[in-house]
Amino acid sequence: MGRIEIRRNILEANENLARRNRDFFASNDVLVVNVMAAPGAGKTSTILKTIESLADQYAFAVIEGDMASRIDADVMAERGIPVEQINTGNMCHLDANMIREAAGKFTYDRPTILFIENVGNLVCPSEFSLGEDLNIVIASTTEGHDKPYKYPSIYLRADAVLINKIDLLEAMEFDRKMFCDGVAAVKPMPPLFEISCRNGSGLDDWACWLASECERKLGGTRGKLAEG
Amino acid sequence: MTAITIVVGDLTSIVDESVQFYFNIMTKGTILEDAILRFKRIAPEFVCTDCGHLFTGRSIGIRCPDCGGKSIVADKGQEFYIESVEVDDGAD
Repeated sequence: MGRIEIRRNILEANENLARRNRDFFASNDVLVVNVMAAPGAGKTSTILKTIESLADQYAFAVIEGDMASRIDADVMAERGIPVEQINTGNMCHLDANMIREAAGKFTYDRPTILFIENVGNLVCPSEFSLGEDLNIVIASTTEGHDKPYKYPSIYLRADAVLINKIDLLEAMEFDRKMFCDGVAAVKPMPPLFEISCRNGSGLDDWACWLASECERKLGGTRGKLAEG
Repeated sequence: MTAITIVVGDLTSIVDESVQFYFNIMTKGTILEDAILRFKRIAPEFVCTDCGHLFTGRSIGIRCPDCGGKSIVADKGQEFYIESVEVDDGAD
């Protein structure tokens, strides 16, 4: 028997495509935000509210990932937001190749924030890079404070964590400290925003943070272009 | 006979039995049909960002056993790669 060393990442093809996506987004002045959450946490609502907050500063585009339906894409389209729907069939996550195709359909004529609404799932989306700049995880008071302990891998990748439906905190007996301890046990505590898409609380802080991240990336790109 | 060694970290969502199941389906009728899959599981190792202590653990969601710090970063356990392939080279 001869033994051949391989040492190659099994998700290498996806990683390579993600890298190409990243280059594409950088050259088009696009900040890409991968939004991950359980079904019903409020991904679509959060994206809509964020776009409302920052509409006068950036252009926006949204890629909707769902196993089936165009429900979320229709909501975006009704508001005039450029949107592409990806239906994954039986797949529980988006991958870099799906994003490459969908992202190529938008026109980027000014600095853009592209939201990728991943499939509602706290497991598999964390394994597949898409070429994103930021990974955000939206938790919600209705799903309970124990999720970081049960699904640590998704929190491991979070650049920011949002707790949505914070207006229901008391009714849901959501233990904020237990939740935060669970996240902090996975990685150094990322920025945390407590929001309510229903009454609007906390959304300004979140939008402000996202705008500053955007400036950090796109401002840098513009600086380089000016120098070059 | 061909044998493929796959390294899987315990912090990934990869399930050996599931990989084996799809491997069997995908290799049917190919030269890999009878290939053996060997799984090498990697136990998680963590670094405490407060005191630098390196330690093993069962899963994420733990405290540093040395200083009690909560800022723990996974150092090992997220692997998913093909380590090697063993093929019959007629040298037996």
